[in-house]
Amino acid sequence: MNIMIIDDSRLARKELSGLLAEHAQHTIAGEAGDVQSALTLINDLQPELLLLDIHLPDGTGFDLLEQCDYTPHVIFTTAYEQHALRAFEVNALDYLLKPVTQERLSAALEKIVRFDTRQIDTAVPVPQQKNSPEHVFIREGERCHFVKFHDISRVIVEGNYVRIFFQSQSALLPRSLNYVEARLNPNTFFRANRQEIINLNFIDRIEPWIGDGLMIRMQDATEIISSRRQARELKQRMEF
Amino acid sequence: MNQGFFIQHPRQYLLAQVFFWGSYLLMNIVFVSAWSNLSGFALGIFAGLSLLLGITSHGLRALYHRYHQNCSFLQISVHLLWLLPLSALLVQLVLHALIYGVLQIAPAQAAGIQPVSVGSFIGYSINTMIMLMLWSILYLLRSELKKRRETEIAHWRDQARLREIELQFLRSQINSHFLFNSLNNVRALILEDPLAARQGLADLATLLRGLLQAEAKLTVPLREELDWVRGYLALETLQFEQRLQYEFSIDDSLLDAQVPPLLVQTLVENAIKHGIAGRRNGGLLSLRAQRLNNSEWQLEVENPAAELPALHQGNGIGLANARERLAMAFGTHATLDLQLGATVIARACLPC
Repeated sequence: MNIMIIDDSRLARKELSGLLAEHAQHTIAGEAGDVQSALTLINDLQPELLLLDIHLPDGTGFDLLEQCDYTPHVIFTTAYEQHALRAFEVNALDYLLKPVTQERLSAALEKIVRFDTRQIDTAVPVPQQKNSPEHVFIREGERCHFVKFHDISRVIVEGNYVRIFFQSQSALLPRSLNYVEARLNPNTFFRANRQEIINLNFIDRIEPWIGDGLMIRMQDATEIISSRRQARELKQRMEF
Repeated sequence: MNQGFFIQHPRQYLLAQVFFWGSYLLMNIVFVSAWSNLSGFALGIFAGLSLLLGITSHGLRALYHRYHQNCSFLQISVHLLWLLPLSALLVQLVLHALIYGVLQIAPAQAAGIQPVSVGSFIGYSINTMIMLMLWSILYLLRSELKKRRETEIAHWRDQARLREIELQFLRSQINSHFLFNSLNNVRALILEDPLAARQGLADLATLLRGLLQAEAKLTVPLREELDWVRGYLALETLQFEQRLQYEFSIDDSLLDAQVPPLLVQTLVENAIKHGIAGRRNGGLLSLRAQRLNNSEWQLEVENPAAELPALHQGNGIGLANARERLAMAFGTHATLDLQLGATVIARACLPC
């Protein structure tokens, strides 16, 4: 994997890169000491994994993830911080406490490698983002989620943002619907109308609707009306 | 009131009893002497009465001891209404029986003693009852006051204990992040610069010793505090490297001045955490100690404000904590203010 280390302490970065040197299968793509330079570097280098400190001079690790154009795998590294980590739901990825031991680091890396292999088995990779794992980082107030794409049932426009529904929860993401659509797998996700994207795997049934439209009933009982043009595309996609 | 009262203060209680009933005896003697000649037998009667009252009041005390805790003022008053007359009657009955018995043995002593009548018996009983009432009021009042004082003391003790736990908890919270970062940095330094790593460990040891000792002391000399601060800054330099610059400007005559332990350290820690850590290029921390006049000196810690102040805002606990430690050491003679702006200055005024 291509790994990037983000920590404001040079010695801490050195410590991590020293530990990573023993893992020949992984390479260090780059290092950054603050949010701004990390953002630039992430876009340039497209790392697959971030070793990310929570406290940075110009923001937190969460701020960084929120501004990333895509969400790589993340392992948080922190000296002692229960509050920030408490913000995570059960879907939290791994975190390491500094000083980091080689055993803990190896275990965390292995977990991600296993996760990635499984992903490739079950889902078709998105062509334009070959490096990005299939999840998105969402922060809502104090709560943070790493939401897996295949857990998203639908996405709906809400003001200037979009609301993402997943696992009987929902959270607001400060992005446009077009931005989200570009990142979702077109084989699974379908733009039902101007306001909504739905996951085809979460459809309960589909009924004809006035004006050649379709009424799509989702498994969570929400009903979505698809316009005539979109309905035609859906019919084509659903045909064998 | 608990059982401990009797065990803790038997002497005080005994003295109070002797004094109260002794005074009563004396008063009786003075009174009767003013009217007529005081016979030896009359003196014996009065002494007997005081002794009986002493014993009765001791019995009453046992009752009060037992019930006063759970009874309201009204309940106690109602019970006193029957308890006191009954006790008084008993005292007088016993006294009269004693007198009667003595007179049977030595009838000659009867000279000058008025014969018993129902009226005189009731009169004596009322007199006795008034004395017992007076005694009871004083006793109950005293135990009530004592109880209140004890409750208050217990309350304050609990409060102090709670605050101590709170402070300890906060201190552990505040320092843990720093502590583990330092350990991590020293770990990396072992490979890069072993000598510097050794120095880092020594600094860490000094600082930890300071932290552990600080709990026990109200104040320490500024000299000692500055040693900790230098160690602390050396460790933070491992974390921030060139982002953290610092300068000291200390009036040498103040090195023996007293400060609450970790006061300067707290201010420096705040300056880094809420100021310099929040700047991408870091900044300069200035520590100044100067004499204001013969009785006061001033300590200042100055740092540039964070670039995103909202992100690095504290909850004011460190500052409140420092203020409290100042107040514990110097009362109202010391102050601590924070001046916010492009540069932040924490300023403490302390007595020399």
